[in-house]
Amino acid sequence: MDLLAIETSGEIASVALQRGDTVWERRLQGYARHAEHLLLAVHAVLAEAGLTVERLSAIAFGAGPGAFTGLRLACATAQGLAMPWSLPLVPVGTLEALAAQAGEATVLALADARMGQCYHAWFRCSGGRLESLTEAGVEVPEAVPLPPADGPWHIVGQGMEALWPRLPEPIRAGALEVVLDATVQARDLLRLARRAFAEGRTVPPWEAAPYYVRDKVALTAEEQAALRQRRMPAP
Amino acid sequence: MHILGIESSCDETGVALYDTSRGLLAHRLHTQARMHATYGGVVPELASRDHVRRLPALVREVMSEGARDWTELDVVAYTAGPGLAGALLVGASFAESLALALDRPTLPVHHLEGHLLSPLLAEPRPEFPFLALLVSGGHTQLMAVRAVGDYRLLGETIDDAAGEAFDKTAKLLGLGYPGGPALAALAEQGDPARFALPRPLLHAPTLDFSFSGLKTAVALKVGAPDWRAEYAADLAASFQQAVVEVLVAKTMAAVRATGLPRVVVAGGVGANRRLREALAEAGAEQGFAVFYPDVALCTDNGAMIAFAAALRLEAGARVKWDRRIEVHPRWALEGLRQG
Ligand SMILES: Nc1ncnc2c1ncn2[C@@H]1O[C@H](COP(=O)(O)OP(=O)(O)OP(=O)(O)O)[C@@H](O)[C@H]1O
Ligand SMILES: [Mg+2]
Repeated sequence: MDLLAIETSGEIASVALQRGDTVWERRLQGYARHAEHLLLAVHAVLAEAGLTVERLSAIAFGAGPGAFTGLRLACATAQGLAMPWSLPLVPVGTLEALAAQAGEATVLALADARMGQCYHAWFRCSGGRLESLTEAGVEVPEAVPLPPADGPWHIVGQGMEALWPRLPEPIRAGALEVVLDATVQARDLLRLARRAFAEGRTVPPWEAAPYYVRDKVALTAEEQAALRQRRMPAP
Repeated sequence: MHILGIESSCDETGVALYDTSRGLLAHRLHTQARMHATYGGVVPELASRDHVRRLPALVREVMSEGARDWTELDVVAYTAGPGLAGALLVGASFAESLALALDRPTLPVHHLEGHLLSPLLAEPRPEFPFLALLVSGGHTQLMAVRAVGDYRLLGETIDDAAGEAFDKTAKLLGLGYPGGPALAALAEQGDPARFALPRPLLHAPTLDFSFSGLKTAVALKVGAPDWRAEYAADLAASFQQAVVEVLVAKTMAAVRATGLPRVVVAGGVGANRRLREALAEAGAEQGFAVFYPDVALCTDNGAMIAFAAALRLEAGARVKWDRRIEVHPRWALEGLRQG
């Protein structure tokens, strides 16, 4: 199969194209340049592989969580590329892609979520399969849930150096292996996406959406009014 | 030639398919107004989230209703600015990617040019040159339009846009968001002479507008100790009258200054019934004809983007092949040159 992967959720955007065992790849550094150069990178890997969009089997994109604008860039790009040729899309979660880097184990995947919070989810990886143990959440590090299963675990975090000391002590103490500066590249999406594709876990472009996890982004008019009341008590 | 038009600059997702020989083949619009109403105004992040969820389905519907095969598309046009950066980026990434997949070029379109040219989609179609009165939620401008791409700004608001003033005043009167249409409806039942409100810049020698003082005057009335809820319709009517008088007076002054025989009104406030009446009277008196887009195309939509692209191409504009996804959240229409 010929699989294109697009990942723009973090600081280093990348695209990867796999054909058989060969992978072509492009990396773009720095947030500002992502959008401008993303399609040139897509075009470049396609050209190197001697392919056109229409001949792809599927397109994978980094669905998040991550920088909101980056998540939409990857999603909208995948949608636009896929639309005219009815290609299936494969959304791949950032936390899944991090967890997959740990090997066979119970894994806590973490990613910096700004505002002093982190994204988190527990997984179990066995026989090359990733099983999700908890739903992804976004919280202050102190509130990251304890492991849902017994035994030692691995921790794979993205941009977690500063938040690490604030994780619950039992989580830190029980970790066999800890990586706090992991990154997710388009290349990392390929393996998970191939499996998802083989198992029919794909979506058409009109059902593809980023996975923000942080869903509360504004106060409703009622909440704003309540907040004003609390700040300005009646005279 | 078949042009797909995509609009996502603010809180409306619009898609249209335009055929240069047969006209508009299909168009679809999804408005987010109800979602934002809960928040009392447009929340940019939520607007962007909605665009990326809606866009592909709208495109699919338009292509199937237009009964055109993907390979028949010649150009993908999209709003590249001005507007909300994140919202624009959704449309731009989708459009540029779609074009790459089809090996076709794109044409980034200026949102206001879309509004400005939308009355040319209606019948009767105004001839160039004309005076354009652009009255929307974000803009209030008078422009001399000599040809596609030849726009000279004659005057604009120095603070709030006319639509913005309608919306803010509606909020003051508890009419929700965006309350412009509701305010206009309430005004129908009120007495426009009941409250004396300012006519900002009415007698100023420029063609500029100012509406924030008017909104403040309304706020003072509503906050006064003798304010009663049953005055709302009269205040709405008085407010609407003040806005309409200023818009019409400046339009007449602009016609006098330029000698342009036609006035084209674009943007959401152009749906206002009182404004339409007053402009018709002014036109009859001063000898100019007034043109409007179809009601469905007054607010943001994809048809005006596809159509503006068609006119630009006809006028010799070069298409874009560089595959860069770039948006211009702030972008002056005057700076737009053909080419
Ligand atoms: N009947 C009406 N009377 C007065 N105002 C109206 C009426 N109908 C719509 N409006 C106003 O029109 C505005 C919306 O118009 P439009 O969609 O053209 O603006 P926009 O796209 O938000 O702004 P821009 O194009 O400048 O970015 C709102 O402010 C709305 O209140
Ligand atoms: Mg508009």
